[in-house]
Amino acid sequence: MEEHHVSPWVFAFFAGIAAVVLVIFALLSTRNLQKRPGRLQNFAEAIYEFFDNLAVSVVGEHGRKYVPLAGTLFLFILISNLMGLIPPGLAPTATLNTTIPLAVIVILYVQYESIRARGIVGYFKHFARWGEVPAPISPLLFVIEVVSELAKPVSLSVRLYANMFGKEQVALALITALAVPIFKSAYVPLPIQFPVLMLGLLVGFVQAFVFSILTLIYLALATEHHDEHHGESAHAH
Amino acid sequence: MQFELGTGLYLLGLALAVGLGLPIAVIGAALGQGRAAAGAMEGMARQPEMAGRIQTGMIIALAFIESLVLFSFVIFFLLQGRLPTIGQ
Repeated sequence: MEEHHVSPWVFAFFAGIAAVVLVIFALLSTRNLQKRPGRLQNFAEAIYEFFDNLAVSVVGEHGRKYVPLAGTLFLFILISNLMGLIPPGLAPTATLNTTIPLAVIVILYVQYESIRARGIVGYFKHFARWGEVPAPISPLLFVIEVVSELAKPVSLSVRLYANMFGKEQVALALITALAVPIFKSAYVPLPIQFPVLMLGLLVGFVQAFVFSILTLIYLALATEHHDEHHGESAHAH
Repeated sequence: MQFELGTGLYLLGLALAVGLGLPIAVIGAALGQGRAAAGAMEGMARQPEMAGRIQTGMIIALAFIESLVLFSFVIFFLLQGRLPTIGQ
């Protein structure tokens, strides 16, 4: 893979900064909780409420306990993505070393929740769609479902990585193709990459949102009960 | 600069793949995303009270379509790294 020519530790460093920013934000906004919230607490509550509504609408009433996971993933990925737009920073999400662990955490948690909701036998039955399809088709479906389950973390991590990496590469290509031949330097203050960075702002938000909502959808698929109705979350792969 | 026939064909195929692979993927995904967005807009116009849910679903669908392009984008970078420079 065409990787960055910087040490992976740089990305780890920036990921650490993102985590520290998140922790400081959480501590500051919950330090002095009040009935009538101040600015910071109000902001934090708005974020939490947004994810609370999202989780309930996607997963259902029992989706409330997934709000911390989805919200933390969103905030961490958002801060990571936006960090790439501030000049000395690099987006930690622009490397597979960051995105694969995030996706693996999500998918392992999904398996755990699935086993907890259905039991170990029900877990395998769900893979085979036992009882929902004619019995001879079940083994075939089992293989297909296992492959699609394994594809989930791959698509989850590569989507985030390719978005952020692609944005950086396009910005770099514009600079090297236009700024360098004209000015003989990559450091002239000519904002050729500016439109790409604006797009990066949008993509950073959307991808963070997509990552966390896909987490919720996978959890919904893993824990759904047959009596509950899941309109928009069905068949999401 | 002289090439063996096999090398020449390899480089030709590589150049075509690098040059055309991503645009083809983009054409397909653009058509797909256009259809998805059009359907979502129609749904929102018919049922404005469902706009929020439709929008969420649309963003998810667009992200899925988009990720296919991004896979080919990653392949593009893999292949691009194998292209020889002029000096070689």
